[in-house]
Amino acid sequence: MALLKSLPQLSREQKLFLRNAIIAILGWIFIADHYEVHNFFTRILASASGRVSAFISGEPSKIYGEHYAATNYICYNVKDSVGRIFIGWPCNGWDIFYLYVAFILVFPDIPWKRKALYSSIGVVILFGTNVLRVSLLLQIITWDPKSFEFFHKTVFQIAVYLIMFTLWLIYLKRRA
Amino acid sequence: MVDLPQEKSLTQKFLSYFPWFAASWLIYVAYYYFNQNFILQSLWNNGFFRSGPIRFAVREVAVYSIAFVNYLHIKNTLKGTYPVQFWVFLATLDIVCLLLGFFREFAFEVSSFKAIYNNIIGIIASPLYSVFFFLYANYFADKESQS
Repeated sequence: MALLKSLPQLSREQKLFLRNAIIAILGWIFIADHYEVHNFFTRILASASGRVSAFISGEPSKIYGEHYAATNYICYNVKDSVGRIFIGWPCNGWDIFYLYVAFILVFPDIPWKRKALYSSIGVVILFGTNVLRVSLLLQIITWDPKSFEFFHKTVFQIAVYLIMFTLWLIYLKRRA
Repeated sequence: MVDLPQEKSLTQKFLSYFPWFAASWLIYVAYYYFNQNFILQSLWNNGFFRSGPIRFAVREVAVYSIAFVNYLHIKNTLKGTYPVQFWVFLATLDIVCLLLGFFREFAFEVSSFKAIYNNIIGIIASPLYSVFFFLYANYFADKESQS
C-alpha cells in the first residue's frame, strides 16, 4: 500500500516528467529498430572512424560495407594494413543518442532553447567520443588483441557513460 | 549569482554518489563477464545455465543487487517518497520488460518488441537506471526545497 500511496504525492511537474518519459519510451518502441536510422549512423561512424584511424596510424584505411538481407542492416569494416574492426548496428551510438536526448527533453520546466542547445551539443560530443572509441579500438586490436574485449566492453563503455552523465549534470545544474 | 551555491551542491551530491555508482558498476561488470563466460557458453553446450528460469534468476539478482546498492545511497540522502519511488520505477520497468519478454518468446514475433526489450534490459541490468533516478530525484528535491 505504501507504494501506491506514494504515487499521488508526485508534484505536477513530476507527473509531467513521468508522462514525457512514457512518451519517450513509446517513441523508442517505434523507432529503435528502424534500419534506415541505424544504417545512417553506422555509415557516418565508419566514415569518420576511418579518417581518424588513418590520422592516428599514418596510413589510409579501407572501409567496406556488408548488407544483412534478413534485417536490412548494413555493417561496416574499417581496415588498415594490420587490423580490421567490424562496426555493427549496436556500435553506432543511436541508442545512446536517443537516451541522451530523451532524458534532456523529458524535464518539463526547462526552456526549449536550452533543451535544443544541450541536445545538439551533447549528440556531437557523444558522436565524437564514439568515433574516437572505434579508432582507438582499431589500434588496440592491432597492437594488443587480448585486451580488445576489456577496452570494448568495460573501459570505453564507462567512458562514454561518464561523459553522458556529466553532460546531463551540467544541463541540470545550469538551468535558468 | 543566486544559483551558485545550489550548483556547487549538486556537483557535491554527484561526487558523493560516485563511490556507490562505481560499486554498482562493478556488479554490472561482474554480471557481464559471468554472462559471457558461463551463461552464453551454457547455451552452446547444454550446460547448467541453459535453463531459462535460472538465467532469469541470475539476471534479477544482478538487477536488484545494483538497485540495492543505489537504494542505500538514496535512503540516506533523499527524504520523502523518493526511496519508494525508486523501487516503484524499477519494478514497473522490470514488469514491462517481463511482459515484453513473454510476448516476444511465446505470443508473437515483433522486432520492435525485441529492440525495446533489449534496451530496457540494458537500462535496468546496469547502473544506467540508477543514474537516471539520481538526477531526476535530486533535480526535483532541489526544486521542492526552493519552493
